[in-house]
Amino acid sequence: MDWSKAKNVLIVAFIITNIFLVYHLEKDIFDQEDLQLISDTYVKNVEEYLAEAGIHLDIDIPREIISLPGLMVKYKVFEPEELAKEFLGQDYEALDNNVFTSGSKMVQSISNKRFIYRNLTDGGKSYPLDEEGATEISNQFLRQHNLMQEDLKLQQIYFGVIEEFGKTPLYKLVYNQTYKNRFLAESYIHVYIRHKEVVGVEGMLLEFESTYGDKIKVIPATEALLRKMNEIIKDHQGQQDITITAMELGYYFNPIDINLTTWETIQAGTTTPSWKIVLNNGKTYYVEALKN
Amino acid sequence: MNREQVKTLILAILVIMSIVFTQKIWFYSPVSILQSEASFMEKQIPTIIETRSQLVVPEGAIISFGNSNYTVVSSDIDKVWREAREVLSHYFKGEPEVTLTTLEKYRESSRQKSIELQFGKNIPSVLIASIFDAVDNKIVSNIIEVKSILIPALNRGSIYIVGKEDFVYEVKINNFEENRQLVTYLDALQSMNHVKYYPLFADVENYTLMPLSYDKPIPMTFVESEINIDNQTMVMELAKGYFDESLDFVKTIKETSGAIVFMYGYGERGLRISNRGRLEYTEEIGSISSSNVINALDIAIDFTLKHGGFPEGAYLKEIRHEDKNKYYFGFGYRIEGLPVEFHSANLRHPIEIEVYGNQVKNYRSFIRKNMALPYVTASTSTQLPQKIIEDHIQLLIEDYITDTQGNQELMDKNVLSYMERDISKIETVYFDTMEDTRRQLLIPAWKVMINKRVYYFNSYDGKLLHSSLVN
Repeated sequence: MDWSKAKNVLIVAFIITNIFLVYHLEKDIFDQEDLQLISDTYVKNVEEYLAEAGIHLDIDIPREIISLPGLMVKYKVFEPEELAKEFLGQDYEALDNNVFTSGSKMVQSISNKRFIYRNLTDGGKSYPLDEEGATEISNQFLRQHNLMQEDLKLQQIYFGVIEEFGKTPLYKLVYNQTYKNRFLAESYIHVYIRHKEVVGVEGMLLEFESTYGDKIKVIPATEALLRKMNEIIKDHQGQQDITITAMELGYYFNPIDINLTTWETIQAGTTTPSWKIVLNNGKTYYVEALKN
Repeated sequence: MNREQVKTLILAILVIMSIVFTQKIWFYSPVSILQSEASFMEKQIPTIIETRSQLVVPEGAIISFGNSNYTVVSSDIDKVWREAREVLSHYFKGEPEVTLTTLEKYRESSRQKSIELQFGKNIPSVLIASIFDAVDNKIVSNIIEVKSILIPALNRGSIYIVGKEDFVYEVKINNFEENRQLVTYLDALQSMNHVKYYPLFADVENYTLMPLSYDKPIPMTFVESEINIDNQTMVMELAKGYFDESLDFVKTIKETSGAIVFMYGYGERGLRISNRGRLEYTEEIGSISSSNVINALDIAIDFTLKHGGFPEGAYLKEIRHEDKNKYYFGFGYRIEGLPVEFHSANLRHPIEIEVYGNQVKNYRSFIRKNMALPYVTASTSTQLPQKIIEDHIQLLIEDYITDTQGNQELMDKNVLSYMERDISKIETVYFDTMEDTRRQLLIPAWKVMINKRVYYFNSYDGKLLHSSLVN
């Protein structure tokens, strides 16, 4: 073989070697970008396993495995005085623990992060209100008090008796925050409407600051279900009808399981990609969708 | 360039690329596997032993020049310890005879030309013996803990050790070599300018030494926290060290105060850095293996060395061993030769490490470093502690009565003598008032221990900086 041909062979050999080496170096990145799906058999096995344990599914288990980054989020600050002015106007009385009252209305700011508004009027005459009407009143109220943000999505409308508001059934509208169409928990606004009146609002909102760290490949929904299965069963011991009604992937900021700080002192933090599992009784579970 | 030359160039580039990639993969995988924790620890062993011998040092020393002429050494303790180690090595390495003796004999010897080394709280004798590489000897088997060691300057083959519950032991060696090295050292020390101390309360059988005059000026000094919470890059790099060099799976929380919390898993590992720069690390541990104090201290040292090391002038202040296989180590450090002290509900000593078996469960530290700023000299001279005590006598008596409640013998007229009897420590320290967040002016202070209460008085204006009960 002459020297020129030998060079050709060597070039081809080294190109193959380099491709092999580059693949090994960057395989984690390749893995991250890929959208993978879990197999039907595996999903079916998990469904059967859950059914045996008494957990029924009212949904199709999500099959995608994607990569998501963490988010740095901070709590929206509700300054007590400003909150009082917003909900009660200029004339209000300040009580202890950041509680403010004016007539039958009351507002409280908790650690500047969470607020409760109550309007304790009897709600006037009975008025037949449909879901659409309730939504309109609620949206109008939130717009009026600068709480209607773009990322806030109406997630659930409930009609029934809520103990705190007496024996008359009323509407509870649950709004949740989203980031890029994925849930951003735990943040919410609950609006309570009786007849035509907003009788209560509770809220805690997060503000997006930046993305945090590299994208991380999340665990499949099946794994999340299996991880949380025991806790769900334990929480519903003796109950027959446990049904999962919703399951989605989003961002969850967990300020509770941290032993070095308290919720009261937290200002901001990182979310982790998490699976949200909602049961038929409204109970919600979050599973951190991290591999470790 | 002809076709062949281009081919040669491409080939050369490909060869180089493959070498670079191979090298990257090599460092990426096998090296980290080969370099296991154990081998790392093995490599660290000489450094750990060296650090251990730097940390197990006396907190202070009382030098007696004879004829009721004393001085107290705190800042230049290293020199005294070096001299004392020479003498002590014969006792720890030899075959000494250990017998119980009386406190009177100890006091009698301490009045002669001698050095009295005072160690931290609950320091086991085996730890001191480990410095001499002689853990298996008669001192260790007879004396569990060492509070202080008295070395008579004129070596007659005897030293005295005060152990647990104030038992006094005489440690005697037969084949001693008489040498005057220590006498020469003490004579040299005496001829130099030193602060003279005297047991002013000897009439009430309290032999705590008090300075007779204090001409040595101690400057106030500006310090700053080693960790700057505002420096994001520094904080992130520091945090990485606690989470295997990656924060990918680590959650971050910012508090309204500016403090940052890092957390891995559901509390498996957590790190909190306060706005002042106080660091707190905690880790969940599994089964606890058996351990001993030397091993536990080595683990604590290894951990600290991996996470920034000890500050200059660090020393072991306290050991607690309440549970089997659980050791608590408290370390102090000195700035300009003086111990730095503060009061914090979360921290007793500047560095605290809790070792369970062979794992560090908790690590807390709050360390300040000297700033490159000129010293602040006070316009007044240092006040004597006895004068400060006199100025605050009403407060001290009130505290004493409150603290000793239930003591029926304590009559109003006798309270002063009782209190004088209970003065157990007079020491110059730097007291960190922690009034400012990151930067702080350290004030020289007299630390006075009366009964179970510690007082810090500004040594220039005599004002009370802080007082609290200690365990």
